Amino acid sequence: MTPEEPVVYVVDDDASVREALSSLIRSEGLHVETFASAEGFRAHPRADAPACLVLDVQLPGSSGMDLPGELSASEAPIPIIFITGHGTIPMGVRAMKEGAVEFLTKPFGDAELIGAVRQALQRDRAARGERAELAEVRQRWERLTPRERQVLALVVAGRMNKQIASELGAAEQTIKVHRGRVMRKLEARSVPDLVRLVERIAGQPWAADAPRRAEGRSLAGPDDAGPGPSYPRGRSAGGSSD
Amino acid sequence: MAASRALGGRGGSDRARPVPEPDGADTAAPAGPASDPRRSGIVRSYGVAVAGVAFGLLLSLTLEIPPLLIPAIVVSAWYGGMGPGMLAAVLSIVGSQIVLAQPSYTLRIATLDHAAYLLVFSLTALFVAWLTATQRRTEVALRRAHGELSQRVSDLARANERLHGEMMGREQAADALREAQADLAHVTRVTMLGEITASIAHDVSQPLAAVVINGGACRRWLDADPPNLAEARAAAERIVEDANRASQVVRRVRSLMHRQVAERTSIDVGELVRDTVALMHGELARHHVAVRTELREGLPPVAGDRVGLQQVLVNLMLNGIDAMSESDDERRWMAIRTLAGEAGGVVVEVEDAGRGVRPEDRDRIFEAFFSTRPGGLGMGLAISRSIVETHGGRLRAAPNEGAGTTLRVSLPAEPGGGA
Repeated sequence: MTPEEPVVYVVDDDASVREALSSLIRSEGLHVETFASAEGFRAHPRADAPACLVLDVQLPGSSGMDLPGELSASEAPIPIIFITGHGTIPMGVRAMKEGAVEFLTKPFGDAELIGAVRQALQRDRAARGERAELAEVRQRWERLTPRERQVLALVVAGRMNKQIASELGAAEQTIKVHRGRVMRKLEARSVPDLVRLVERIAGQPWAADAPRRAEGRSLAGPDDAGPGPSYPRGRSAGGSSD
Repeated sequence: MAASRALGGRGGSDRARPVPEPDGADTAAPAGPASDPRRSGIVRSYGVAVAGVAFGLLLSLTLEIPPLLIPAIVVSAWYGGMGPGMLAAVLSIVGSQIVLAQPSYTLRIATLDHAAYLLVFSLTALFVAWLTATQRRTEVALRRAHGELSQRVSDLARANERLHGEMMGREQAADALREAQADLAHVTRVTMLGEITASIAHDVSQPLAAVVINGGACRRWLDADPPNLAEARAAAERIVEDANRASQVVRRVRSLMHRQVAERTSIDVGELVRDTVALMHGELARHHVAVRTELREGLPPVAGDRVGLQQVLVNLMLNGIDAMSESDDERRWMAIRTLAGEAGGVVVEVEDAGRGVRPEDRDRIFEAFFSTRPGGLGMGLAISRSIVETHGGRLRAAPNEGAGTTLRVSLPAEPGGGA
């Protein structure tokens, strides 16, 4: 199995259903791993590949309903397709809130399940790409020194070099050097690039400290109330004029 | 009536019971409508005695044959009893002495021979009178006894008939009771199944879902290029297995659902337990109850109604599950075992680790309409006990040493089955 070959995990306590699901998914040329319980799935190391989980929500023992919460809180959540013997609307609502791709009530057609699996894998592939990109950005972010992060925060807040220099009590020339290093380290070609990167970083647990510590100012600065999408464009104009 | 008194019979108590009296009574009855039939009867009896002796004397005198007095005495005694008989005897003695003996028309006894003759005649006359009266009395008594006897026999026959009728009625009542019990058992069985509907539905829908999925998979394997026949065949085989599994569930439920006449068959208790646990599998899983079966090999079969006994087991298991509804998951277990019972019988125990039965409720749990469950009908154990008892067995509850209760069903050996 190559790292990129997708995996479909199946958790169902009923052996017949488990085997049937396995056969159906394999008939689509997908790799399947089956588990009789949520515990079995938890204990199993997961492959580094696009994946999804087909989960029976009426599992005895530790409820199958605990698993989605755990998964979405984990570092690599995978999309879940819920299957149930007798689905209730509240159950479906809860499942969807917890990130279900699909909520299928038994008996369901093969096309429904395959469609849901394909969609889930597609979603996970995208999420994995997103995560990989984010990891990349994080790496770049972690190259910055605290001083550079301060400078960055003020740059994306739309301050001129002169203003930044006076705010940080440094020479304008020094700020320019810092600014150049920030651009290089973050592999940004322009201020709008920088803003986009910072946007990506914002809200990530590992980046929570730096940009906001810059004198307790939020990234959005004075235009805090403005709608999100218009923000980078407006600042980029100011940045390029510098 | 008149005669019975005239014969010195014990009139009073017999008055209510008419004794057939061919002579005397019938002829006496019309005389003196309401005045005193008894007295006129007595008078008539004595009259017969006097007339008879007079007639006898007259006949003897004209025909010159002496022994005609004895029939007169017999007739008098027979007709009138002891009194008239004795009167006829005395009249005969006196009459023959006066009229027939020589010298005539005097009481004087002339010769020794005559004295002897007179003595013998007197004794004979008296004896004949006594004998006839006694015989008559005996015969009347006998006839009355016979009458009483036949009365008693007909009374007995009537009583017998009544008893027979009562017995039929009781049999009908017993039949009606059995019918009612069967109805009740059926209703509680359906109610019981209602309680486990969710898990039964799950037990049916799981294999059906598998059938549908396998069907889709099978088609896909066949549609593949090239078709994967091995996988398709495996899927088709699973379809057959799953469909059988679903129909097994339906069969189990349907047999309990039916209102059928209890039929006695030979039952393998171990197999019955396995089948019941299979039926209850979903319900046990739904309540997170682990079940352990310990089935003794080689137990003799029992004779009984399979559906009824299965109802008992389902009921005991449901009670066990209910008793553990507030327990932690690791305290939710149940053991079902079969053991050899007394005299070749079989015992089934259903043990739970639940909250147990309060000592004050221990005698009441088998009562109808007694339930510790808020929504309980309280019929389960009462019906179970009556089902077990119709099998000649016993159902008892005993607290475990630790937590929970053990319910013990003892069933007798199958009659004729090698015990």
